Amino acid sequence: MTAAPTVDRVVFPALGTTVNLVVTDAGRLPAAERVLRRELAELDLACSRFRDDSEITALHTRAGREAEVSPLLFAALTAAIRAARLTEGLVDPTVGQAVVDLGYDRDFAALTAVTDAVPARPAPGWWRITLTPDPANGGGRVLLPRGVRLDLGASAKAFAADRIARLAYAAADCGVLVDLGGDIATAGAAPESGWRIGIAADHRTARSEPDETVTIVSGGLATSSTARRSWSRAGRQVHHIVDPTTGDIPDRVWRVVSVSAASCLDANTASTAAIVLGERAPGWLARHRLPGRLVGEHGEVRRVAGWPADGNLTTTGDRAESASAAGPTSRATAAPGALATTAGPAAPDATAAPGAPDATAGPARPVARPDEGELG
Amino acid sequence: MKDAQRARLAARDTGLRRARAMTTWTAVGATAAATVLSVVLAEGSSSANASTVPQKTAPAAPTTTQQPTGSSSAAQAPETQAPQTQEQLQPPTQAPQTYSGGQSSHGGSGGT
Repeated sequence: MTAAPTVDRVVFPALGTTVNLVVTDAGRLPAAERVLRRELAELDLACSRFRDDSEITALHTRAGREAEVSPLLFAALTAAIRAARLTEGLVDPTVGQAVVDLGYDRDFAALTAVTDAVPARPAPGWWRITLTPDPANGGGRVLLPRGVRLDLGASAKAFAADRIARLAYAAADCGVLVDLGGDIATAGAAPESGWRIGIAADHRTARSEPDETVTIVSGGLATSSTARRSWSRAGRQVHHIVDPTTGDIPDRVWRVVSVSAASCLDANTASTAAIVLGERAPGWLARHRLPGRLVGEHGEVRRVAGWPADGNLTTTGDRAESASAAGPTSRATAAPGALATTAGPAAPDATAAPGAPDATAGPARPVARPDEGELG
Repeated sequence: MKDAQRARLAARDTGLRRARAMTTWTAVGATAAATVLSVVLAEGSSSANASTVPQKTAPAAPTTTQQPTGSSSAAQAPETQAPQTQEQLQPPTQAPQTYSGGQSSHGGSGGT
């Protein structure tokens, strides 16, 4: 008689964040980890704008001329342009110069307060990039106009999470979850009760001290936040999410937005777009049938398109707090799971539709810290 | 909508119109060239085996700027362009579910 496979994980720092790989069969972890480390190294070399030897840096130096790029960078650029197209430019890889002008011109850990102010300028626009695939090698040629500087920060990590999850699953032949600093992709069969995902403003505490926990069985989940990667520039607090239409940070409406989608890339694209959209974000997510959890600047929580109520609000016995904070239209006190499968066709703007599963559920609060290391 | 946003959208639309116009003229030119070429070749080899006569084919795509990524500045001949699809961000097959069991999370999603 053989023992049932057990879940196992490996966690280490990479890409300026924390990488977390989970497999449903501990014996397959080494195979999956090999894929993970190889792909991360290749991704960094292709897409990091902070490395002098990266492909994207070389691409910038060849702006104005067509340049051959590797299959990996070509795929990452293709993903970035797809994200831009599907969001009508809300998420645009040509915000590179705008991000630099805001002061984010080096690895975040080395960033210091910026005192001089450069006027914000709109991003040049994703449609100026020309990609020509080369079927022979899977890569292609890229024509980047002069003056266009790329920042793949809004898509590359999520793109990588999807890619690594797929490849690791192929190598390990078991369920795989790849978590690149909160950008989560899954492949293969999930554990019996699903993949448990902690949600928080900061990915470093999301797993151990989540504001709430949900489960997913496939696809991806991503969170965009203005609470992390922020710095002072000319006396005001700025962050890394830029509105391409202005080149400046968007109006402060949402502090944290989490979205679930069929892939991590789509989830991250939508969560970033939601930060840029501001007040229109709940309706936009609902129209796209993308379950989302949005935390406002003052801590108020809205859930759209089937994002479930926080089960801990009922199980901790703190009904009074949840009810009073939620307001009369809230369903935060509904039985756990009651909203779990209500994604279906959402109302055009679930935040306004009577009975829609989004509720203003009041400030999220931490739940009891689960036992670390207990998996599966 | 701010003035800068309007100006940017107008610039984008202008760029897209220009790209579409270029696409159209490129396609027209390619079609004309292909037609002339096929007529010339057909007349020049009327006694040849049918298999050597060039088939009437769609005009070749322009030499550059084929953009399967969907960038709207793609200059593909309409005949070779993939059918337009209503591609969208894809929702999950199943919405997330509430969890309150107390076990630790497999992953954590938060701002980076």
